[in-house]
Amino acid sequence: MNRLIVNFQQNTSSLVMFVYLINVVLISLLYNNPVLTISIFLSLFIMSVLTRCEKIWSYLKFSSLIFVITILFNVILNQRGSKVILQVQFVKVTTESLLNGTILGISFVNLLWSFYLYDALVRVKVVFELLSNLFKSIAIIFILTIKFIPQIIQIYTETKVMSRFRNSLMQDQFSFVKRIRQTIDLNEVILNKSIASFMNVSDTLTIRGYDHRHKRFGRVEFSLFDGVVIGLILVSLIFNVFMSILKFGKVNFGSANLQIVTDHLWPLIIVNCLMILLPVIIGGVNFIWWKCYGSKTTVSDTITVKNYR
Amino acid sequence: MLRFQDYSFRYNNSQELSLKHLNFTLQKGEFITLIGATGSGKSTFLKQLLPDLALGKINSGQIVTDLEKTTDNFAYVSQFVDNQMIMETPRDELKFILDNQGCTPNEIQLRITEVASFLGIIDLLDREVSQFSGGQKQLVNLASALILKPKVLLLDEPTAQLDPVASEKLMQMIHKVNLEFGMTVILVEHELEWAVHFTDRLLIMASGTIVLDQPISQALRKIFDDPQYRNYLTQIDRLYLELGISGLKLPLNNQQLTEVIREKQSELQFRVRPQLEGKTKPVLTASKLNFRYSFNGRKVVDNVSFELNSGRSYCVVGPNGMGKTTLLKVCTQQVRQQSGKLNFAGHKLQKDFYQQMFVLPQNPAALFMKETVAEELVFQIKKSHSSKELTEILKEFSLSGLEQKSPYDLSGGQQEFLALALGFIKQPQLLFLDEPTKGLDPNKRIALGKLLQAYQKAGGTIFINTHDLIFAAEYFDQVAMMFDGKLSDFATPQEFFQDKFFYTTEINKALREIYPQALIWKDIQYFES
Repeated sequence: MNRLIVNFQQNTSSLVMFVYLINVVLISLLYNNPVLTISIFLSLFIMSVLTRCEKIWSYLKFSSLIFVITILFNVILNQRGSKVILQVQFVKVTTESLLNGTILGISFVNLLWSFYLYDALVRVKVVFELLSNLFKSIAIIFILTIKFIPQIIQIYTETKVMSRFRNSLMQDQFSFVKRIRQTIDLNEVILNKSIASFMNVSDTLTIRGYDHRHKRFGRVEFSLFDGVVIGLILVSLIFNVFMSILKFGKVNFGSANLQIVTDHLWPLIIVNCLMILLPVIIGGVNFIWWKCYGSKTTVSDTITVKNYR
Repeated sequence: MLRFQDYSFRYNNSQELSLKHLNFTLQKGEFITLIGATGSGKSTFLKQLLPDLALGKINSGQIVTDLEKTTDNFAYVSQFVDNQMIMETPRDELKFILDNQGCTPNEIQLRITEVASFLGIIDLLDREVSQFSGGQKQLVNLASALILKPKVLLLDEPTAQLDPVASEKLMQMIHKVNLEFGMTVILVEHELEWAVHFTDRLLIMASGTIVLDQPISQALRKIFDDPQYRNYLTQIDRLYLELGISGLKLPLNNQQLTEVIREKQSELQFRVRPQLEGKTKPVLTASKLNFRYSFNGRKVVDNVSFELNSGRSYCVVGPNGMGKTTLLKVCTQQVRQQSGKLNFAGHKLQKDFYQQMFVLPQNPAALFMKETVAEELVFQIKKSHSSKELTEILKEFSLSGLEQKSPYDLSGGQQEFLALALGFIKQPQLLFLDEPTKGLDPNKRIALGKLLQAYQKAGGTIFINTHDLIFAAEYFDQVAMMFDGKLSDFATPQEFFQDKFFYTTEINKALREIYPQALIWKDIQYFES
């Protein structure tokens, strides 16, 4: 993770981070003007690269696939528009349907990348406590899901690999139907195996005293810095909701007469990109403050400090 | 502080009693170690003090105590290192526990500071748990248990998944808690190696009853007379008792053994092990294997080359997280190497490679695919076109009577033997085992060693990863160490361990100046008259 984002993460409470992520998801959801969504995508992509670089390629492949599938589906289903680019039998590809597909594709991809960021930065404890504040049983289901989805994937992969060592025949010697049958059997085996792990986590919740939880919400410490950040995010939230109600940053999606307006779009692009890049910007400001002022005035002039400076 | 009176317990899903007429008294500040065969009821016994963990019926008797049976008084640490943490960082985990207790923010801050400084985990507090080694995870689990200031600490095989160095550190920490706070400790273990010097009282459990309950010194002498439990003794005490020497109070430390053996040196000799002669054909050849999990990640397997010869056994030792399991996965093609070559019987790996080998993974349950033990074995017999009989296999692998049980309901040791039985039915040329002694009691470990020797005698080749240095020293022809992705050269156990300072057996540490090649108690004998 980039050190500017680490700085932001260390200086803000986990609840503020959660609010930031909700704002990012909302920004990805609210608008569909392609100029705006592309700028949002670029900001999200920069943040994702800086936050969790190691999984970026596999996620890029996945989101590209989703993008292409969305366009294809939209082109097939939405046959509106007059400027025909291509016609194959009954399928008519028009400029409008292609544009509609692209808009939907980018919106989808933006949502995927905002959840990539969410996954990389969210603290399980905050979500768990928010949920347990509302519905205790849903909180348990949430935590079990968080713990179990990776475990079930691991069990599936492990069992599939291990089954190779038990067979005396090679996998490709089986017929197609037999292989499908084997996959169905495998799912049953995986469910059986998962139950044991499920019981262990449930025991852990008991050991940790969740059954007799006294507090509905854990303590969250707020600093002045948290206040400033949350204030900025709230202003952005209000701004976005307001702009969305006024239909700024939106196109008449799905129509045969698709109009892309770029007037008055700059404030929206600037605000939303800045809000997505907020951790990098605040981390950067902190870094400059520390280099140029903080380290020189607030700490003694020792060799260790000089090195850090 | 607590008394079990004629206590019997049965699980809801079982017809049999898991605990039978137990009588046991616990004194404040005691360190009690409980040993016994796998499936003897040790964990069930511990869970009686936190009834939410063991759903069943008390059939007779009662537990007499003034303490309420809740997590405020009894803290439990299990052997499942990975499933014990709910949150992402130790700080969140500790806060979560204290929030559940309704602690004030000031109290939370103070308690986390105290426990983290005491256990030396301050640096770990804000790191993600997923990056921790097994030893670090278990230290965090211990912190989670201690943060509630319990009266009794219940430890269920806490070292089962740890390497020797991490196990020793954890036990020292537990001892410190016991000594400094007078906290009562009940430790369930498969072996006494790490706990023997801290234990006040030793308990042995068999088929749901306590068959021995004595102070440690007397208990050690008593179990030496019982062939069923003799193998539980530490190597140091075993050698002392086997040589028939008396006068010292058990348990002995390495220094005491050195002195005793020095005095008796003229009557003793080192047992020279027979060496396997001649070179056999190579079965698997690995050349410059490399593997890493992420683009910029460290090389988990770093330029590893070796050769496995037919009819020989190879063992890789090394601390947790140093690439042993990944190397095994690369060799068995569960993951593909990024560079380097693997040859099987002199040729590039063919599609039938999987049919010539068998892997026993760390979690043997990963191999199971059927509802009962009998179905598993019959399925494998059919798949492998084997002529073996079911009853014959059940007997050979100590699984008689378990035919109709679900493989997932078996104890760790029984699961290991069932998985091994599946492998032996297949009759592979090459057998890979990943930490096969994990969770096995010493008798089962010996039985496993003998089964592997028989397989090797029949021409099979074995490659294993283990933390168990005694197992490595006793049953394998060649040993190597893996550290930071690098594999050292294979050497005979005597050659390999004799110049090791920390990573060697206790007998070797104690007697390296007298008998540098002695590794296990069997290596020192009286001269035959």
